[in-house]
Amino acid sequence: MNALNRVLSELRKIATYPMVWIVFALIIALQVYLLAQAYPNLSGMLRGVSFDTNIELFRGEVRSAGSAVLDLAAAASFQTAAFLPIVIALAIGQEYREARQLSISLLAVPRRRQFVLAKYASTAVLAIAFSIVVNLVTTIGILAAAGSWSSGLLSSPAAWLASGRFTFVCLVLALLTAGLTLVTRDVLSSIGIMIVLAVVSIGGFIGYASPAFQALLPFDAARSLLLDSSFAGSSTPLLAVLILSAWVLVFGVLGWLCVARRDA
Amino acid sequence: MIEVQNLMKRRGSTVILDSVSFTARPGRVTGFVGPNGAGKSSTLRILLGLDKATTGTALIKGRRYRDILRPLLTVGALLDDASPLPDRRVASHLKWVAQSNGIAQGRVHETLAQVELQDAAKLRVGTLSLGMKQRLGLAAALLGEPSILVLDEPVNGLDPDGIRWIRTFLRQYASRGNTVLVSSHLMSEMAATADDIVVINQGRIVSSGTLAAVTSGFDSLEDAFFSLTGRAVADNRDAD
Repeated sequence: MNALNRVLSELRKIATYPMVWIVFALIIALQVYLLAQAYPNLSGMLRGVSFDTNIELFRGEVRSAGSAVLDLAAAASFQTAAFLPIVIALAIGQEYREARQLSISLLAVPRRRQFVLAKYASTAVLAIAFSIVVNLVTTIGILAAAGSWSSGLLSSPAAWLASGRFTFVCLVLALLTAGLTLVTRDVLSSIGIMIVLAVVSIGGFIGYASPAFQALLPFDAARSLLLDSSFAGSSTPLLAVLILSAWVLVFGVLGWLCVARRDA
Repeated sequence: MIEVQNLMKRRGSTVILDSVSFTARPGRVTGFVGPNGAGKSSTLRILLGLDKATTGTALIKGRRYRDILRPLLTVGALLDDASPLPDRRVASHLKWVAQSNGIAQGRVHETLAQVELQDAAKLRVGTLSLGMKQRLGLAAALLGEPSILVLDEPVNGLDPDGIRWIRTFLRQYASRGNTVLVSSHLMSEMAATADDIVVINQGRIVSSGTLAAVTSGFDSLEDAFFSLTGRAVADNRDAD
């Protein structure tokens, strides 16, 4: 009961902090805008085909329409999830704003381990909510573009598996950002580090020198887990899950240690 | 009962607190006075589990603050250097604090009425005056109906009406058998509020006892304070 109260208290903090919801809404608006921009092309390409029709969604990559649409949905959701760290950094970083809310929080929950666990649990709830909304917007967008033939596809086991993987990636990015923000005690620093990680992963700069090292980066591992095209990362899905879990574990523990050992 | 024993706090080579010891007893207002930077806030932050002491103990009812389950039901605290987020509404702030310790949400409006802020429940914290923010901090401290209050500079920024209100409130609170520890650098205010006085200067306790004992031989607490802290400075120079 006490643990539940602590988590509910953290969720109240998130729910009553307007900046979180303003940024959340802007990200979803951006997703809708990007889907709307892609709508004419997608609609022209996907209407009137069937699951097994071969199409060339990306240049030089001929594949079945069903497989291509699932990958397209995953890619559309993933590009939106890249902005999730901003929401999480704001939600966690409210403790370190100039008002120094952290002291008030630790008066209420003085045991650091319990405090950090409640933070991570509320972060997970926010990440799951985010993944559901993003998935929903993507599904509606693809359905509108592809027409009725895709409705069965988007409710198929393969689609549910893809949604599960996407939720897992959102959880990882959120918990990683949460740990990072507890370490840096600064919203902009943690967002900056996540942007650098994203740019290095997606830009593939390190991959030219060391593909093995590239595979260890979180956004690269996320692509490996979510995508099944030439845009996928450089590891297998199983390895990607292990890599992503390791990132969460390391930064989760680091975040806890920083809160536990530093003066508030 | 609050018991502070031989607290020492170092940051690098700087000694923030040096063998700080004192007691705050139930039914009395204990004034913790000293100039800015004397170590008042550092002592209270260690007492409340926010900062760690290098050595020594600070206990509330015989336990460390962080060992108290649902601490807001035992201790209410107001800190000088921490305030609610300006973007959040007054009632929302109190609701998350109450939720964290399993305190009934009904207490939010009761405490707002207690500190005469009932009309400000829907306002954002950033729109409140300094005095209203102090009252909001006090409302948060009172949510769990604690038997111990620890307040760091509660009259900072208050107008004369606000100062009188806090003074009356604290006197009444202690008269019901509760323990009140309140820090301030305003001597005249402490002389009008406190039963016991602890004087700290440069991280060391230079005097403690009843108000009458500390001011014995002086015209006022202010005279005693300047005399005591002046002697402490001289003593430290001698020691160096």
